[in-house]
Amino acid sequence: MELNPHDLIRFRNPDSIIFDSPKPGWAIESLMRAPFVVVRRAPMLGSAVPVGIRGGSRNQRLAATIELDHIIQRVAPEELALSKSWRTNKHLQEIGISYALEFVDSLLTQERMNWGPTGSVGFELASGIFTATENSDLDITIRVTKFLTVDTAKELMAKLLQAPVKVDVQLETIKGCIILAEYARGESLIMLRTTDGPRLVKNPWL
Amino acid sequence: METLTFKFNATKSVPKHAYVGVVASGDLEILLEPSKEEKAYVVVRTASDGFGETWKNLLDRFFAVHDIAANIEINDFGATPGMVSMRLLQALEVCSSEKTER
Repeated sequence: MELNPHDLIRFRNPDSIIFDSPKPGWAIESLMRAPFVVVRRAPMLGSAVPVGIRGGSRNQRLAATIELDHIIQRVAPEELALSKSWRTNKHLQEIGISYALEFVDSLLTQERMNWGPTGSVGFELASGIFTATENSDLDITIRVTKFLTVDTAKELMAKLLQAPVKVDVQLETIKGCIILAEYARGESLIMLRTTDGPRLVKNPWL
Repeated sequence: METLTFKFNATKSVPKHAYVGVVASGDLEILLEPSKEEKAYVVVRTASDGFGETWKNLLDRFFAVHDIAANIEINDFGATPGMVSMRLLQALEVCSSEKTER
């Protein structure tokens, strides 16, 4: 099974989630509420997959691991975009996120870019559990395997500003991930997030 | 949301200001202004509460090596210590370079 950062994985049993430190109450509640964790950008340790648990509030994030055997389903952000399941999600319609998803989908389909929702919206689409709120931004990832010019990045930023909610974009290159807003500034160095940690690079595709 | 403030003695002056980082989860913004005082003042606004000790240790280590006189504002969006250190070094690089940007 190929796993990438931001993939949502469904587990069989909350006990299969291994914590490094004592489990906070909110983390256990969160695992009971929705049987999903998010793949983190960190190295695999043998067959242990690095995952993150998300709680109800912004600062409730916890690192953990899960053995590959205990994963029963993997949902990639791109699959969520392809299935367009926001069209049948009443809650996301009510809080206005569905319009933003529709906007982003039509823009990026036109640009021939592979994309998917991440963050609270991705979690809600995969799990069906209310996670996004009226104040949520829309976090997305775009897979960009070939070099993208800074000018193209700037144009993309400008187009995404027309979206009904703030869209935060990560570009997944073959080497790791960069933030579109930072890349579009066109400075000489950019922060590339890799499984071995962040590094400053000149070209995030090399 | 938590605001932390730190003060360090400084001996090195830097020629110009720096702005690095982004508003994105797991990242941070750093605004750095050169100071005439022989001090560094750091204000950290963080979305993740309860990491005061981690910030103190990280900044202690940074200023032990790079004792620059500057006023620094950090807006943190849940960055890892590794990310914070990289961004501090990036800000140092930008504020120390004599040539104008771009």
